[in-house]
Amino acid sequence: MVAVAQGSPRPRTARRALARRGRPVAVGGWSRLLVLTLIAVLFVVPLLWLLLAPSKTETQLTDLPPLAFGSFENFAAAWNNLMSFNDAQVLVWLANSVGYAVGGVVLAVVAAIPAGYALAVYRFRGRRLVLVLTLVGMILPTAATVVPIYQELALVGLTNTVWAVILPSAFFPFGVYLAYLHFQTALPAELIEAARMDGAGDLRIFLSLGVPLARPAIALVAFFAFVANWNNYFLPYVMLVDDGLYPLQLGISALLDSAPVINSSNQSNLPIHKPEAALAALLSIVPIAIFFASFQRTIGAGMLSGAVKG
Amino acid sequence: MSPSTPRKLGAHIAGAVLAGALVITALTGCSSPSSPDASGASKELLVWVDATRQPAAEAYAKSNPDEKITIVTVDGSKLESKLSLAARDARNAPDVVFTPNGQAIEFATKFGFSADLTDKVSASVKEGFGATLSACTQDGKLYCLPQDVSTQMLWYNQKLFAQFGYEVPTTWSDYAALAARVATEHPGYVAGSCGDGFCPNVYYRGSDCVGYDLDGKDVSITLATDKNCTRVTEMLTPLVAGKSVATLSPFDPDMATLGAESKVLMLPGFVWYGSVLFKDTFKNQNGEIAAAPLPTWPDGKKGTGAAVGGQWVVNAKTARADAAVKLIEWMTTDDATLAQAATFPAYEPAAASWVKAVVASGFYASDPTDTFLSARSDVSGDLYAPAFNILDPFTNAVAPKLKEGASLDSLVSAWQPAVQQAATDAGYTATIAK
Amino acid sequence: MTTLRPAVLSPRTARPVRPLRPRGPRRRKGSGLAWGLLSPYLVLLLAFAIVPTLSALWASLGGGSDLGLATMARAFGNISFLPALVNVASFIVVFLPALLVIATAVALLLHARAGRAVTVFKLVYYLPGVVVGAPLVLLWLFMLAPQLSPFQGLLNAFGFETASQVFTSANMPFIFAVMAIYSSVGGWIVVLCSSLDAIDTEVLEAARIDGAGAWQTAWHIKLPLVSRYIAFIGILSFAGATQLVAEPTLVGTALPGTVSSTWSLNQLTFAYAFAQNDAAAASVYAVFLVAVGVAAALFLIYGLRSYAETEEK
Repeated sequence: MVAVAQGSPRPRTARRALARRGRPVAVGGWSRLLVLTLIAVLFVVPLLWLLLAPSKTETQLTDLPPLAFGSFENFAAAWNNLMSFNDAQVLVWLANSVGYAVGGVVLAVVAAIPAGYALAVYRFRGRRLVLVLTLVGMILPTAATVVPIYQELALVGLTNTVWAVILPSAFFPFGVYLAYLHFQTALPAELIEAARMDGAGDLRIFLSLGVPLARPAIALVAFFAFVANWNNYFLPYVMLVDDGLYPLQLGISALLDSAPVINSSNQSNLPIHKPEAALAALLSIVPIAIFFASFQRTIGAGMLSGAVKG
Repeated sequence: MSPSTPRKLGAHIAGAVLAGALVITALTGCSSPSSPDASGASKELLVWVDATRQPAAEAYAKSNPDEKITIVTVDGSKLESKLSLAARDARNAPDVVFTPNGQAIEFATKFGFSADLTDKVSASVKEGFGATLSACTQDGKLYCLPQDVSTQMLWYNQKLFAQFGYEVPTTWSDYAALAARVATEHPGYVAGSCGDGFCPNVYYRGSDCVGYDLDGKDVSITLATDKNCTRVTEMLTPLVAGKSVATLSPFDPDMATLGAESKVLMLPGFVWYGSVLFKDTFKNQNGEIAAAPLPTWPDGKKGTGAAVGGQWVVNAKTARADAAVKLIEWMTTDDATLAQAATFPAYEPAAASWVKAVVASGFYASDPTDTFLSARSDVSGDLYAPAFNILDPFTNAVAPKLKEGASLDSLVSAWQPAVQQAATDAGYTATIAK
Repeated sequence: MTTLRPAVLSPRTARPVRPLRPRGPRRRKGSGLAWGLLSPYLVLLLAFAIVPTLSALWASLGGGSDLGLATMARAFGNISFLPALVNVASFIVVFLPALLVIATAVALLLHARAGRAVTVFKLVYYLPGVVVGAPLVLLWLFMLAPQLSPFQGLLNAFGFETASQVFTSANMPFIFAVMAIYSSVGGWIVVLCSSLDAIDTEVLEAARIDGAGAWQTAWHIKLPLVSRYIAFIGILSFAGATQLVAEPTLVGTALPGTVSSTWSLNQLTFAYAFAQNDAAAASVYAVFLVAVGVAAALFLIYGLRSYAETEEK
């Protein structure tokens, strides 16, 4: 194994030389790019197909080459067909998705960030138990918990309401764990001891040290919570019956269930076929793509800074 | 700050959170839209239908505004899970449910959901349904009203038959002989389908093969011993091996490709194959497809696979039973509604108008009226499993292996245990007959 | 678990540098605030994890009547149980190693050089994760049907000419693995990239100066440092994989007769929970899944910890 970090400080000159050369490690540039591009192509081609699918008619999807472009008229027709379903209910679903995602994120962040702080900074009885329960919570099968949760919410009369989706989404153990890792390293013991010795109480420490340092963790937890909520299918499926309350993913599945898209034995007069299904899928991707692109900067380098050393 | 303050503060925060949670639940619980009304008189009538029945249901709701009917679309494949949840949550339970998969009796047995309609439906209405009512009846109780009946017939491509010089088979031995000829003379053409539960539904039930003997709570599975069943297995095995009977479901995308290429020569199947399969999926042209009566076995047995598909069920716990029964009676007997239905009405008086509408479309090569109507007499008495059947076990246990090339007769030994499990799940004590 | 900066890499540097950690004061003070800060999360944990799991456990024990032996007999005696277990196991065996290897390899490749292209690559790898449910299956039905797919050449090379040849029982674990990797690898690449970005550059410079090449740096330095994250991803992906349900159900609907409706263990669980209205038997499977998940978690945590520790020496 290569002898690493012998502990002695690097000679300044060597460091400056390295800095001039940029990143210290270079992998065979072209072969690296080739591999990455190849994989990217594999990933992009299906999405490209999805993008082009609404431009073709149902028969053109099988007749024309897979990545051929149909026509803009077909795109417009597919859009109209999709909108014709229950007076553009697809847009209602889209708005619902945003609502559920945002609502779930707000509650998840409010719960996870302080919890992560508490777990990282304090030693108290039951701390390890909470950490273990959090880990178990991350791998708990939904099949085990969904019916009891449904019964709980039925008891307080919340089933088939927006709260039935938002409240369980607020439970986000993954976010707690991320926050915990973040505070563990962003807030080392010396800093806290120093603040204590200056006479600051715990609340003061939390407000003046913890909260400002929480910003990267908030961004990270918010990002993952948003995406998890956006893609969440099973929870709304169980909790909601009114199709006006459906989020987009659930609505699309319900739509495809009733149309002869996936199941061709469905007898239906709905003008929903494969091009419309592809268009609906695109509708669910675009907001996330925008969201991801804008969050890329925030969750980029250094976000999990120091956490890896934990 | 004194050392005790953070602790108190923490306790305050915790308390506030809990209180807040309780307040939120109380508030939202109180303001929920459809809270149950004890009197039941002004409560809405919640109706779950599938997408196909939705237009007719909405029309009824609109023309009866004082009934306060709310229609919710729930897909048939999701009905079980939704109902099992609603069983724990009276607030959101529906008053009326339409099941497109004939599950009324299953719902009665497994969820205690279906109401007993024996005394709520008039005798004349019952008579109009005739033998189709048997699919709704168990232990003498009527649990639903049937929407439609799928009678069986032999669909064939008249143009191809003329082109190849074939004659339409009238017996199963003729059918088998023809399918064997197709395998050698025109390989790649489809003479039948055996790739999912439709295979036993058509071929086995068409031979009066129920697959089991029912005696109270005991079930004996007879797929390997009942002559009615073994003769079908014997007939189909070589045909599947020869590939003229495709190991594809009629609704498999690959079957759709073959259909679009006009390679589907003939398919024993249900009355609704005409419009759903040949017209909409295979996109056959007008004047190509015709329907002949289902072939018969030497003992004259005809297709008893005629199945009741859609059923209307009333919630046993509903507060508005009369309104519910009125709705389902209207949906299943009203002539004008049924004439436009996608499927063949179970109600005899409405059947003729339905056929007339279908024939007027001009799709069929020759007038199928006689075939359609005569097949109704095939619907027999007590064929249907209360809560299990031989079809899903075939789809799950046999079809995947059939696609990999295993022979049909070797797979009966996989089929029977699967039927046994299904019967056990339905609460029976099931054994395999030796 | 907590350490201090700088990174503890080799025992020689760490021990002399680490100051004594004061223990007493921290434990005494402030527990009140800690509980206060934890309380919203604890309420949620109780309501949506602890109570439901205990309820499921109780149900699987037959509601206390017979210690659940009859329920367990019913659940484990179902003829579909063993095939479902085998199916899920074969899926995991294909899916998990491939996922971890691909995610790690791509993250390491991306990290090797900075640049705007890296952001674009990350977006491309991540985007497929948003396609879920029915549209995802629709997408793959087309991608895996040789006559309709842009990958026709690739499929033909494997000897597949028609969709029926692709969607056979033997191929199902691979098909679901492809779908799952396509959807999930992007997110994990993002996580791993972030953790790689956080590695102290001094360490990497030191390696470079010592003459370590790209491979050696990746293998001996970067990999051990993110091994904890890889274990974490492994645990979560394993747990998710045991719960495979949506894809087999949708493939079974789209291609009737290709996949049993209880192909995966979780499908069997849902069949019992909903179609059978037998929550007790469903709970037995669910508890079984939790146990398997926890076992895998322990295995991965301790397994990778010992790997990281040996590498540090």
